Amino acid sequence: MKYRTRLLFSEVQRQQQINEAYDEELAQLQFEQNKWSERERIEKAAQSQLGMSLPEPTAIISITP
Amino acid sequence: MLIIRPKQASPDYSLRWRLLLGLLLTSLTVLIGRAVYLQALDKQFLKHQGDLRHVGIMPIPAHRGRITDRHGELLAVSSPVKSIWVNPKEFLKAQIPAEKIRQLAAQVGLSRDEVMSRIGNDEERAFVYLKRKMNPEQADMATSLGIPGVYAEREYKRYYPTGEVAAHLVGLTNIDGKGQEGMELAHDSSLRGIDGAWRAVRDGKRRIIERTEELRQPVPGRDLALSIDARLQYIAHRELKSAVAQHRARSGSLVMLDSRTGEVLIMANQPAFNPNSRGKVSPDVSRNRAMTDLFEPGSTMKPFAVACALELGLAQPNTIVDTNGGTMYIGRNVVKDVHSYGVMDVAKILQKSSNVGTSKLALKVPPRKFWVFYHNFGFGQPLETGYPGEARGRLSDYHGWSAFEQATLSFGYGVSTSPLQLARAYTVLANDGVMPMVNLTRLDQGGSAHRILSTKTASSIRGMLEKVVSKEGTALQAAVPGYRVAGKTGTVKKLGARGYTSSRYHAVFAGMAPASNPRLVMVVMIDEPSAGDYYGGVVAAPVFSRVMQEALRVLNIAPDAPLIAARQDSPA
Repeated sequence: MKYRTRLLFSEVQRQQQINEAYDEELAQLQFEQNKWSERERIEKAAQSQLGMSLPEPTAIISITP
Repeated sequence: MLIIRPKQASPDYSLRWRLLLGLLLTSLTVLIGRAVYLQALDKQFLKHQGDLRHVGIMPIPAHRGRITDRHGELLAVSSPVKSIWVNPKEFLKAQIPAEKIRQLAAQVGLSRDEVMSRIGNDEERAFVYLKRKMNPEQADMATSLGIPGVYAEREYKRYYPTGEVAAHLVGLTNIDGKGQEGMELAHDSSLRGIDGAWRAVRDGKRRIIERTEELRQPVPGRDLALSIDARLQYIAHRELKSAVAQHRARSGSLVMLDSRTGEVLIMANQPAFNPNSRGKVSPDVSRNRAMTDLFEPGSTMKPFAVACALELGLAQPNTIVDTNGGTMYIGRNVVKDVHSYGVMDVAKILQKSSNVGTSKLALKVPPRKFWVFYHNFGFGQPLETGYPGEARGRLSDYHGWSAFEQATLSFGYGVSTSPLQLARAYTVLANDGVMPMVNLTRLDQGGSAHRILSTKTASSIRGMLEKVVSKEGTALQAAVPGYRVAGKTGTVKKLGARGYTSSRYHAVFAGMAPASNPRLVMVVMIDEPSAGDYYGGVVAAPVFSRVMQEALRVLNIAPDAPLIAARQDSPA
């Protein structure tokens, strides 16, 4: 009984550690995602690398259903 | 030869012997009795004492709820980190070689001397943080050096993905993860969750050898969805920052409300701070000025004074007022206009922002009614958002008013308001006379609202405010191509040590769009522009125009004004 408890307990701990590792990885990836998706960065990239700009109001046609 | 000596009588020790035996037996009985008592009858005592030395209750930190914008974009999130702590008692006893300490110092990013000074010389201490909230991988490397007395502990670190863009509203937590400012503080109890606990058995070195049971599961904190829109917030932050820099202003605030629901879509302030770098942030920078700072609204109050006269039937939109060449005497005081406008109707009074005209209209209203009117628009009344440190503004009691005071109130002096309160008052004009409650969190169903003004007066004032945003008005620069805009400028003298100054101003613009059916209300306030221009129509109105233009586009709000050039330029 005691032996089984120990065995299961170590299994729980192992799984918890795996879970923690995933948590950490998730946080790291979220951080990276945010870094890459910063509006300032995207705005700069769109303007300088892709040559995009906001359309003039006169160039926008709005359609009303 | 044999000498026989008299036999010496051996002394009789038997009594002593028996006494000793008796004593020993008694002691033995007492000891056995005590042992039996402790082991069999009162075993809880020893068990408890043993547990005290070997079983500890360890907290499991709960995951703090996330803060998001209205569309679920992350504004604040807790990520797992590790803190390195040292037990100096073990550490100092172990006589760690200098090389190892240097390795440890390198891992935690401190110098060797810093490490030693943190640990100190006190051999009785059992706990000191060496480095808090570090990258978990690095922390694991530090503990894997195998130095006695060095441990890692799991914690959470608060991270603010949008940085300074929404820093003021979102607020901050302290290093222990407790809300300190802003929404982090206002909603701390629901964000925080409940820490769990587990029972651990430790060995003589206080290392955890067995995790016996989980006493409570941690309850994670609830997520909080704010009412702001991160896309608009970014645009406003960018424009406000550049305007404050361009006009060399002390500070600036910008708020935008959804005029129908009262939800705050933007709340931006300058100067701003980065909530992710844990330096010392001075309150001058961290203050959410849009809610905590008061200013006199100046001419942006005029629409309310005029609305009061119209609502009570004391004037009509076409009522003609003679502004007496721009000067008006009230007792010993003088009310002046910048220019002399002569005879004007009510709409033109607002268009030209005439102090004399507004005063004349306001003085038709009995003081009590005038006070009630301003009061109902929320001046001097709290916003009831639960935000820590929100200002309620000031509107003095009408009992002490002189005619001159009532006149100055009509053009926005002698009353103070926060930018958000002013925006709330403008929602009444935008929303056909109904004021929604201001909300900082996303509303999933309709909030409460109160009727303050008749639909007729509200739309009539709105029509007049549209004329302000024109060539003849004071705020041409607030115009947004393709949309009708209504609004009012304010250039307010700041109160100095000796009365009002004529060198320091607040440049203000409050307005709404699209004017035919307003959806968005915005207030821009720039404090002490000092690069030359200081008029609300020149400093604040362009910021309004740029932010409003992008907001209308992002929110897909249809244009309500014809763009004559549109057809010719369109590629189709």
